[in-house]
Amino acid sequence: MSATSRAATRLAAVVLVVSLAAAACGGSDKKSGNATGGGAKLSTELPRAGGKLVMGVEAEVDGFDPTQNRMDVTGLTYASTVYDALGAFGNDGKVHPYLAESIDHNAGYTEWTVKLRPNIKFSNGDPLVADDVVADWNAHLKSPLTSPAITGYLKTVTKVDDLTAKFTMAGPWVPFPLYLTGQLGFVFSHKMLADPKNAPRNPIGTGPFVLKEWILGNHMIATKNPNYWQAGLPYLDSVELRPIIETQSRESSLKAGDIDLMHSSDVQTIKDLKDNKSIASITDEKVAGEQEEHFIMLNTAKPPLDDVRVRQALAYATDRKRRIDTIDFGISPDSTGPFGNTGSLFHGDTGYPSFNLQKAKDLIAEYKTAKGVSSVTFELGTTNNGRNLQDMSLMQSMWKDAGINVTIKQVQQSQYILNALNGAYDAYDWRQFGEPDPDADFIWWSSLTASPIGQLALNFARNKNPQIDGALLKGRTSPVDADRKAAYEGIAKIFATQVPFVWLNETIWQIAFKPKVKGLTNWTLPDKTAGVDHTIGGGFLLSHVGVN
Amino acid sequence: MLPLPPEASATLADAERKPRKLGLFFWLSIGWVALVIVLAVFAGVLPIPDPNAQRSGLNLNPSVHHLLGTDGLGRDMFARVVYAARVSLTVGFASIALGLAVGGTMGVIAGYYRGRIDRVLMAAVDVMLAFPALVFALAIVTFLGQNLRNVTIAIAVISIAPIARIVRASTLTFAQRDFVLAARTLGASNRRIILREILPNVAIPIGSFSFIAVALAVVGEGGLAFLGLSVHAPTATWGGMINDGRSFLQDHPNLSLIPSAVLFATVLALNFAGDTLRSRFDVKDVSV
Amino acid sequence: MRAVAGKILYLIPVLFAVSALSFGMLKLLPGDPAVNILGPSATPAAVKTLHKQLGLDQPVVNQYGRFVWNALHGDLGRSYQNNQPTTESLRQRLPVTLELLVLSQLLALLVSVPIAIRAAVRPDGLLDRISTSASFGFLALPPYIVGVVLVLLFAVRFHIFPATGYTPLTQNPFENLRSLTLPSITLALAELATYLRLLRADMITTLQEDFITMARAKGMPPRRILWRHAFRPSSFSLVTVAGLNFGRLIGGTFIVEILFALPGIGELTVNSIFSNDYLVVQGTVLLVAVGYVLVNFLVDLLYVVIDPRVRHAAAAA
Repeated sequence: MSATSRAATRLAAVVLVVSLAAAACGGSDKKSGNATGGGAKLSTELPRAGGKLVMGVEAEVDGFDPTQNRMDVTGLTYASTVYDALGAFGNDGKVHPYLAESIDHNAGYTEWTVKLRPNIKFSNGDPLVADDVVADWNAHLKSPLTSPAITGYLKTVTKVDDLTAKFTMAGPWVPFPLYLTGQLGFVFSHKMLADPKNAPRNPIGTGPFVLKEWILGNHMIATKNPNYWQAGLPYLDSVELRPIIETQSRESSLKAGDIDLMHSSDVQTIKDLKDNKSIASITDEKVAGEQEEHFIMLNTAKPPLDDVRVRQALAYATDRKRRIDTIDFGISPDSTGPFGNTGSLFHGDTGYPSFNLQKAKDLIAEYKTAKGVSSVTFELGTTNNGRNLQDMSLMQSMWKDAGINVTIKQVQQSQYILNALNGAYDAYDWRQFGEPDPDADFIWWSSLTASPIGQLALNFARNKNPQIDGALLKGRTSPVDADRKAAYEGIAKIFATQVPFVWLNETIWQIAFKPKVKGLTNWTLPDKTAGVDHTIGGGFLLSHVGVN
Repeated sequence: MLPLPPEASATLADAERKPRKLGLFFWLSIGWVALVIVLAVFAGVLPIPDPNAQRSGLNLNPSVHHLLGTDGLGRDMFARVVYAARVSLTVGFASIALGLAVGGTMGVIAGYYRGRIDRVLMAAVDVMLAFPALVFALAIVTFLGQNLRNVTIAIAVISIAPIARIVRASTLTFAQRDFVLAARTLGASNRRIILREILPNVAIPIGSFSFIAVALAVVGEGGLAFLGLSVHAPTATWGGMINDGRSFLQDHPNLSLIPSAVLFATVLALNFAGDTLRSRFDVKDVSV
Repeated sequence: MRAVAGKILYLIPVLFAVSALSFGMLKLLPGDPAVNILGPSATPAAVKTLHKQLGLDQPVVNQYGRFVWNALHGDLGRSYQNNQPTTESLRQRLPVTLELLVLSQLLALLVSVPIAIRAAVRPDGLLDRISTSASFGFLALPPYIVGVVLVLLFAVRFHIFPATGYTPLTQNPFENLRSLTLPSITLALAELATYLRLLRADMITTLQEDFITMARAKGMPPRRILWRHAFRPSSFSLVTVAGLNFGRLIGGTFIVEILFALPGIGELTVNSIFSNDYLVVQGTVLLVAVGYVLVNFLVDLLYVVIDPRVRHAAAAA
């Protein structure tokens, strides 16, 4: 070898060794911020008029048609730029009139009357009248997407006069106003219904902004509605919503200044951003309502999970604290039932099993003897996400200690929901039950929606329990708060003993933003009560936000 | 100044020169590859911790107990890298070997015979190339399951068409050369010409490309892991480990850098060894 | 002229074959577009209604036939999810991916070609070893890592480039280039090793040829020998791979597109496949097929230009 090539090889060898060493030595744990978070302080400064806000969202949405396009958190954020809902939740956990001037009921709660505010115009100049509300709701009653929640209970929606609509129920429906917020509550012009093919991309609403440009996958730009019915709002001249699917990329965009504000439910991001000195953040932990839970959903119609001992053993074998500290970096709150803790009106002691490995082993031994089997095995499914796989690997090893052997099965996202609907699963990694009010969980827990395996069923766990049905009905029909609380707490206690769901943690959503964004907190609804910072799931209204 | 490679000086003296020494770096490369292969093959019997055990502390630095530290779930990184070597090397080599066998054959035949055979073969290749690889990979892992064998098959099939085109391109340059014409004039059969004149010449650039292709296959498996289409957890693969560590790059760069470093070293070693061997044996044939 | 017409005729059966195959495969994939649209509240009745609305209750052959019929009239259908006409999505997204491809491949070639040529002159020399090691380093650090590192450095730490997003060329050329710099570099680094090694290997082989010795003996200046006589015949494999890349990467840039939130064809393909948006996937498949055939037509033309021997052989055949 020539002298130069000898030098070259030596150099290459050194580089290799150094980089290996660097890789081996680098990456030690940074000192973490203080427990209360080291992020930028929240400002109480009032928003000033003018300016543009750019928000990074977690996915592109299907469209702006509430009867055709499913609206998750992102969809609701998009929709609330161009629409207003009839009602809105306040910080007190109750529904207040928003676009509606008043929301009243008759003595038996079988009729709800919604009165609209006068002199409000749609973005196309048409006046807002009760006919639009009636047309919208009749479309919802026929929509394959939105009818399941109301079908059978909402009988008719009729016009009383130009500004009043009446909702007639099949029976008492006390928490009905809940459905006047969110996807079903948005009021859109009846003209959209005449052109369903193009409606998703051509919204006509009364909202604070008007759709200017929407390039799918790139951005959605909406500009200030000059004739908005809430005087002085919106503060912003325009908003831009950008879908950035990769959480890490979204986080980098915020730090780099490409976007002003973002939302996320990813614990890694939440941890990083809450301690970042140049970023302010709020979470929905304390918001009134029921937090979404993360749990393992068990198919109670399929052996061995049809035996309550096995299900209870799974709960006893799950060290929730260890999991939260390992997988969720200690960020997520613990969960022992379907009702969240901090902001919930229905949270109570459920008696759900705490970590007790011996008890788990005993239950499994008892099951094996009773059934005459030598092992307990089933499939634990999750989606094709790296972190979920890590998560389920930990579950797998925890349950193995109790003598339960699971194999992990990764499933495509689109097949995942289908399998859950069809009952084609044993145990599934699942997130659900985040609602402002438990009545919205009716369709998931009722035995009316639990079909046998092989047929589509919204009650994925196929859990049929007459006591739960009774409690759900009580929660829907009783006007007495204490009775409702007792009913729902009863459901939580049944879940704790029957264990159709192995609770893991509560999901929290974070809204992280540059300090120049003002007005996210401490705003008031039209009736002067305090508005909620953001709803469960991170949705919020952009009408009261500004950039200073 | 254009110094010519020593092998190109076509003199009788050269033909009688002593064979070049293989050199230290060659042996280092061979040694590394051998080490990786031995560790991978005998991982079961060697005193290496269980790569899936989640017992230890999280994100530990390298120590006597954990040679390369632990990952976010407390799993031993050294063990995971070794066990991952099994999967990644198998995927890499097997898929490219398959691709070469099928695609290489197609390419040589098409490039040598030209005419109708060429057009038909290249039409098939075009259809394969125009077909979205992602749909195909998804189809395979969905129907046949997400395991090592099927991921290998998927990558192998995806590699057939590009390999065919590259081999054909290389064959085209050689098929028109004088030495082929000479052989044909002397009455050599097509098969003999292909085997003795074309293949040895094509093998040189293709051989070099093959090692790259192996690296591409290993990394490509990581691309499949990016979309969740690769081997099931908790089986580790180099590409998968690199992808998993992506979210932790700022705080725990180890998780991606260690498997990357190992992949880098292995790919480098393979290519250096290949290059050295090639230049060692590729003495220009002086005689006519 | 005849060659061009021949190529267009050739395109048709290829397109048919590719679209039929992919249609079939898509239908067999897991998932149901109706469930993707409806989400967890998909009742049996709702699913049935949607199937009817979207024409999914027809036999597969009928669906394919309808697709072909519409396609021949320039209608590639609409997305099931958001109703956007597929031609519109493709029109919006193609410039993004094309620009990314052109920039990244240009970058890769501009770096790899000169280095490969110089390195081939002295195999095992310093430049050769370093460039080989560096390019393997990039190979072992795939796009999903390199992209993240580049963003952490040049967008988050130093606010030189944006972390995500795309500005169209017509709107603001400067911002457009800014938004595509990091993605192009990421993609270029991934190709660098391949181009470098291929060209270097071919060059080394060519430099051993008699005609090079002859040129040297004739006293031709080394640079002329390298670039005019050695490079051209050595670029076969390089041109082939570059052509392959171009054609394939139209659909394969998805990793970079997803990381940098670029609304391109790759991202569209991935999202549509995973949400069973069959018609949109078919649209992208057709686009990629056409693009691929066109590019490789160019490559075949280039073969003839680079190496006259091929031209003569083709004429003789």
